[in-house]
Amino acid sequence: MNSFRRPGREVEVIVQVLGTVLMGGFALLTSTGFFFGATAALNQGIPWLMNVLLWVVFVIWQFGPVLFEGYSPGLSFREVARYPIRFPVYSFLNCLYGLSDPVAITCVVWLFAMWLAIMMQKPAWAPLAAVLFLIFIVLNVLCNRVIIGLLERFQSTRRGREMMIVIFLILMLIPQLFQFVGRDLERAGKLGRLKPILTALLPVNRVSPPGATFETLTLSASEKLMPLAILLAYTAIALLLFLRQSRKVYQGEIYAEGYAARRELKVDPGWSLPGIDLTISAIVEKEMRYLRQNLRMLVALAYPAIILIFIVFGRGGARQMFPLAHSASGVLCGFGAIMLLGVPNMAYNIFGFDNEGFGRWLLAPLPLRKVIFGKNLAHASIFAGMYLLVGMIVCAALKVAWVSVITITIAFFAILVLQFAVGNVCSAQWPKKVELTRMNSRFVSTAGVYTSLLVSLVIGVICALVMAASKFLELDALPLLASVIGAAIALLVYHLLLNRTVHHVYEHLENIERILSSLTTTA
Amino acid sequence: MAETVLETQALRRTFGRLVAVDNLHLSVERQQFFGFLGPNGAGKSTTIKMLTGLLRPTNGEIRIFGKDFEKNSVELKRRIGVVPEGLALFERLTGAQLLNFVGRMYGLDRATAVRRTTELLEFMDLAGSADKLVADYSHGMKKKTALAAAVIHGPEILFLDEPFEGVDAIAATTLKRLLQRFISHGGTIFLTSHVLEVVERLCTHIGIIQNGRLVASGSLDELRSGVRVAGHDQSPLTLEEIFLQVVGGVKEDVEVLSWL
Repeated sequence: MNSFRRPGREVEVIVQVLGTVLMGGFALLTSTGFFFGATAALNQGIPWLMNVLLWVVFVIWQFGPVLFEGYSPGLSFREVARYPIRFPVYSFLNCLYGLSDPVAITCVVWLFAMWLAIMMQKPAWAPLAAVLFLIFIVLNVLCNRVIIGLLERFQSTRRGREMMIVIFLILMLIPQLFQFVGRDLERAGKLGRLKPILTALLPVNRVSPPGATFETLTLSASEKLMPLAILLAYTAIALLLFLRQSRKVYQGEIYAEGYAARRELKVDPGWSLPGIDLTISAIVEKEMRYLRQNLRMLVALAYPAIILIFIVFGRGGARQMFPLAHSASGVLCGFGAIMLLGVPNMAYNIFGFDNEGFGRWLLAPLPLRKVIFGKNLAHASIFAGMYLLVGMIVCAALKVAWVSVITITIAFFAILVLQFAVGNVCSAQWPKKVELTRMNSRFVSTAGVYTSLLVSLVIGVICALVMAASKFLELDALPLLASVIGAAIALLVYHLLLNRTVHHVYEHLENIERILSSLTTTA
Repeated sequence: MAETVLETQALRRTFGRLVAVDNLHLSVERQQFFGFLGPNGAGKSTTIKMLTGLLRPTNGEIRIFGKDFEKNSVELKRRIGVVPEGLALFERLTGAQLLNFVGRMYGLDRATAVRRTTELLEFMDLAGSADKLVADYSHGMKKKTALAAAVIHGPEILFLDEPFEGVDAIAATTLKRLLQRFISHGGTIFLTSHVLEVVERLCTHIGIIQNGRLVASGSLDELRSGVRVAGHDQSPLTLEEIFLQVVGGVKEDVEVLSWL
C-alpha cells in the first residue's frame, strides 16, 4: 500500500498487480500443457516427451530466477544472516526462500500437472513418481541456490553485474539466430546433418538430472538402480555445495567491490567536433562515453544489423520470416524500420541514464534547450550512422534503386527526428531512473513505452497509406514527395516540442530530480 | 562597505501544504564564510537548492551580485560553484573525464580544462583513481570529486550542502584547506552542515533556520551576545549551546528509552 503514496505510482502498481495475475494465469495455462504433454507421452508411445518436459522444468528453474531477477524475491538472502538464527535454520530458510520464487512455484505446478497425468494414465507409477519428483524439486532448489550464490559472487563488482546482463541478453538472442540457421538448413535440405549431434547428446541426457529422473521412472525395476543412484548423487553433491556456500555467507563472507589504483595521471583533452560548439561537443562526447558503458544498449543496437546479415547473406531462411525482405528496397526499408523501433530506448528517457547527474545539467551555465539538443544529436547520430553504414552495404549487395534509397533515407530521418521530438516530451513527463546492473530495469517508463508504440503505429499507418495511394493512383513520385514534406513537418514539430519540453522540465524540476535520484527503482 | 554578493527577499517555497521555507531574508557579503544551520527538515537544503537553480522558489527574490537570479541564471551560474545534496555527478564517467567535462560546460577551453583537471586530481589525492568510473569511487572520493567540479571554473561564490558528511578526517582536512584558501583569495562560501564544530571553526557568519524561518543570523560574536543561557558561567558560549538555545534544545523531560 505504501507504493500508492508516491505521485503517479498508482498506474505502476496496478500494472504490477495485473502482471502478477497474468503470471498466475500463465502458470495455470502452461501446466495444462504439461498435463496433456505427459498424458500423450504415456498414451501415445512417445515416452521421450516426458524426458523433454523434465528438461524444460530443469532449465527454466535454473535460469528463470536469474533472468527475471527483479521480479524474484529469491536472489539475495545474505541479509537474513544478520539476525540471531542458527545455521541449520538459516540454511532451511534459504531453501524456502528459493522455493517461494514465482519461477520455482511455476515449475512445481508443472511437475504436479505431470504427476496428475501419471496418476491418471499409469496409477502404479504414481507413488514412485511422487518420490522422484520430490527429489527432483529438492535438487532444483539446491542447484538454483548454488547458482545464485555463484552469480552473487560474480556480480559483486559493477562490471561483473553488467557483464552478466549482457551474457543473458545474448543467450536470449541465440535461439532466434538458431531459428534462422535452422530455416536455412531446412531450405537447403540439410536438416539431417543435425541428427548426429542429437545422437551424440543422448548419453549426456542419461547422466543428467532430468534424464536420470525420467529413466528411474520408466525403466524396468532391475534397471532403475543406476539412474536413481545418479539422481541421488546429484542431490547429495548439490546439498554439499549448498551447505559449504551457505556456511561461508553465514559466517560473514562478503564480496567487496575492489580495484587496484594506478598512479600515472593523463587527462584526455576531450572532443572538439568540427563545426560544432565546444559545449555541445562536450555533451555529445559525454553521451557517447555513457553509451560505451551501456553494454545492454549496445547489444540492442547491434541486433538489427545481425538480423540484416542473416537476411542479406543467408540462404533465405531469415527472409521468409520478414515479409518486407522479399525485395531489395524492402530489405533497406525493413532495416530502417527495425532501427527506428529501437529509437525510443534512447529517445524517450534522455535523462534516465544520468540518474543523480541530472542536477548537473541544471547547475551548468547552459540553456536546457542546448543540453537536450546535444543529447539528441549524440543519440540520433548513432542511429543515423548505423543506418548509413549498413544501408550502403545493403545497397551495394542488393542493388537498390536510387529513387528508393533517397525516399527511404529521407523518410528514415524524418521519423528519427519525430521520434526524438516526442521522446523529449516523454523524457520530461515520465522520467525513469535506469539501473544498468538490474536485468529488469527498462530503459523507458511504461507510459513512454505505450506512447512510443502509439507514435510508431501512427507513422506506420501513414507510410502504408502513402504507399497504397502511390500504387492506386500510379504516382511513383508520391512516396518521395511525402518523405520530403514529412521531413519538413518533423523539423517543425521538433522545434515546437523542444520548447515545450524545456518549459515542462523547469516546471517540474524537483519531481524529475527526485525520480532520477531515488535509491530504489521499479521496472 | 563590503559588497553584498547574495541576497534573498521574502523567499518562500511550499510543497503542497508544507511550507519548507518561509519569508527568508538573507544577506551574505563578499569573503564571508557563511554557515547555514538548522535541525533536520528545517529547510536548509531547500534553500540551497533555490539559491543554485535546482528548485524554483514559490515566491520571493534571489539576487546574486546584485542581479536577479531567475532572469540572469545562465550568466550567474558561471560565477557560482555548487556541491549539491546528492552531488549530481555523472557516475559513468571517470573522475578525469567528469572534471574535464564540467570544465568545458563552464566555458573553459580544452587546454585550461585539462590543466585544472590535472591539478585538482593531484590536490584531492584522486590522481591514482582518475581513470576509474565515479560509480566505483567511495563516498569520500565522490565528495572530493564534487568539490573539485564546483571549483574548476574559478567561481566567486561556493554553495556547499553538507560537504563534510561521510568524509574521513584526512579528506576533511584537504577540503578545509581548499575552502580557506578560496576565502583568502576573495571568494565567498555559503555552507550547510550538521557538524557544529566544523562550522564554528570555519565560518565567520552564521544563519540558523527552523521550520523554514530564519531565527538567528550574524557573526558568532553577535549571536553570542544575543543569546543568554541560564546558569552559564562567563566563558564564551559554544556554537552548540547557541544552536540548542535558539532552536529549542534537547527535551530534558523525555525519558531515554526504558530498556537502555
